[in-house]
Amino acid sequence: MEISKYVTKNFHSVQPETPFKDITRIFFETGESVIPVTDETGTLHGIISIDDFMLIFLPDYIDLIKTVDFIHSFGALEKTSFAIEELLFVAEDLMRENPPVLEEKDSFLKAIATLHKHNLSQIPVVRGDKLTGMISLNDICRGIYESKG
Amino acid sequence: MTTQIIAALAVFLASYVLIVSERIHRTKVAILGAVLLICFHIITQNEAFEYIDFNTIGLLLGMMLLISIIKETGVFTYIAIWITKKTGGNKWKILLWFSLFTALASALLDNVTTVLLIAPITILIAEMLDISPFPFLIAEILSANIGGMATLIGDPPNILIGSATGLSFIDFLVHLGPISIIIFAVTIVSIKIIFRKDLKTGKNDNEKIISGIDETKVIKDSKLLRRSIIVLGVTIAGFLIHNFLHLKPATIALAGGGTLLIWSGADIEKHLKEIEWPTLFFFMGLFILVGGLEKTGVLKWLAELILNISDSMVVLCISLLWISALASSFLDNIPFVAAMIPLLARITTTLFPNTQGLDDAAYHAYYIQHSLPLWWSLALGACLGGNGTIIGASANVVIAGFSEKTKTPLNFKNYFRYGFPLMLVSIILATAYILIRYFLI
Repeated sequence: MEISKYVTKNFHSVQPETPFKDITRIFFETGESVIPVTDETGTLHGIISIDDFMLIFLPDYIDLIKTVDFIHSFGALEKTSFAIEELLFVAEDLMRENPPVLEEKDSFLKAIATLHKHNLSQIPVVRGDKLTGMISLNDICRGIYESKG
Repeated sequence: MTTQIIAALAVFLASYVLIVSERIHRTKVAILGAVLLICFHIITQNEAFEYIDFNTIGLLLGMMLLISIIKETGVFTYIAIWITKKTGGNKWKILLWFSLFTALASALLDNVTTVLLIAPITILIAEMLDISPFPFLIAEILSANIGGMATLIGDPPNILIGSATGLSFIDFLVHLGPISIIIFAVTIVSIKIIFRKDLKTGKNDNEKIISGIDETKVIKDSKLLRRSIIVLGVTIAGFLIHNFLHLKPATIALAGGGTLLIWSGADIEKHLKEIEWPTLFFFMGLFILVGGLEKTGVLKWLAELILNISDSMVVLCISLLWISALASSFLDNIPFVAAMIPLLARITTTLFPNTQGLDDAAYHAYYIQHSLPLWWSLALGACLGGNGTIIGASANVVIAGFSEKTKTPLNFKNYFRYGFPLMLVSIILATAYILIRYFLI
């Protein structure tokens, strides 16, 4: 079964120079978990996942610790500033380059496998290097629900 | 020089240069070098396998198995948090006790595993207390290498020396333990003086901050922890009496690893995957490469050359100590020690020939006992030399990698400023120790 029918054409994208604050707003207003980064011609440059986005606020060394279950308070680190006006990042700094993509002719199974392997819940759909839509796990669920065998 | 000697030397030197340059993984080079010796008919395949010291391989394998299970218990993180709470957040006390813990753990386990487990929690605690992890990480590097020097199982050079000489765990502890304690004390006091400004504890709410960590939640499986501690304890007791039991250290280590694998119900596939196979294969290749030099007579020729310069034991010991230390500061100390061992054996057999018609085993024990200061000089130089630079030992490289995630990463330059002078101080102390203990008293 092809994914073409379930690809979302009404999606939000940002340009490489879109500031951090605007990206934050798109995430909470739309509830999307992945935002594609394109230029004015619609060419896909990368994606920003909400997980990568949140890493900005985490100190790097957290990666070194297997679990944080034993920490009730991070002490001096609790003073971390969340003032996003002060953060000068733009979309280009945050995006994952050469992201995984699907094509409209791809199957449901290929879509599920790709999302699973890249630990994403949403993925760009392209024709050549142009972004044509986005497909999420929720879209695939709808496809499965409407499937007639 | 025969073609065989030239070929053996060429393969050995080319392998050595490639290993030191780190352009190609050292294990790949060692395996290829060993195979080339067989292909060039310098040694036979059977001889190649005979050159592999399976006591060293078994000891490393047994300890790796044991550690792969122990590290899952979270005991290191637990102890680190417990220490922090006991010190009330006092920076100097944290540094002192973390260093002591690192040194002790390195003496009983391997240095790399110790720092792999202690460095992340050190960085976390330092960041929580809003202090730079820099002096703590430097202290841990130095402590890991000094602690590792104290025992037969603490550092790979000691494992190699112990296996080749037949010296026991107790021998290492008795001869290298006292100087390890002295060097550790001097190093930690020096660090306190060097970093006095960073370690000053002002008025702050450190105690309140550290109460935000709950060490009891770190231990996920207390049954596994209990069993691991029992097996580790029995294994260490086994090392202490292995000579009385007439068992090699490898047997003790493999018995410990095997017992814990069964008793913990651990997944064998998972733990075998965690074994550092590249390290084990590196050792195997290296033994064969050095074996090639031994067989072709290169080491005999080199030993005679050295003895022509000086056959005084004092001169040999002190030169060996300093050359080993400087070489190990910049190069991997494992291939260095692996090559030095048969060379020293040649030198000592020339110095102490078998004039009494002793059998092989008795003669081996005889010349080792007469050349003890030489072996301790090699161990001291190779282990302490690792403290000289950030690339001097594997533990240093691991900590430097972790420090990249902090605001003050360790690099060659900023580590060298503190590590190299402290390494020189330790070698001066080691020189005094060798002279006083083995030549003046």
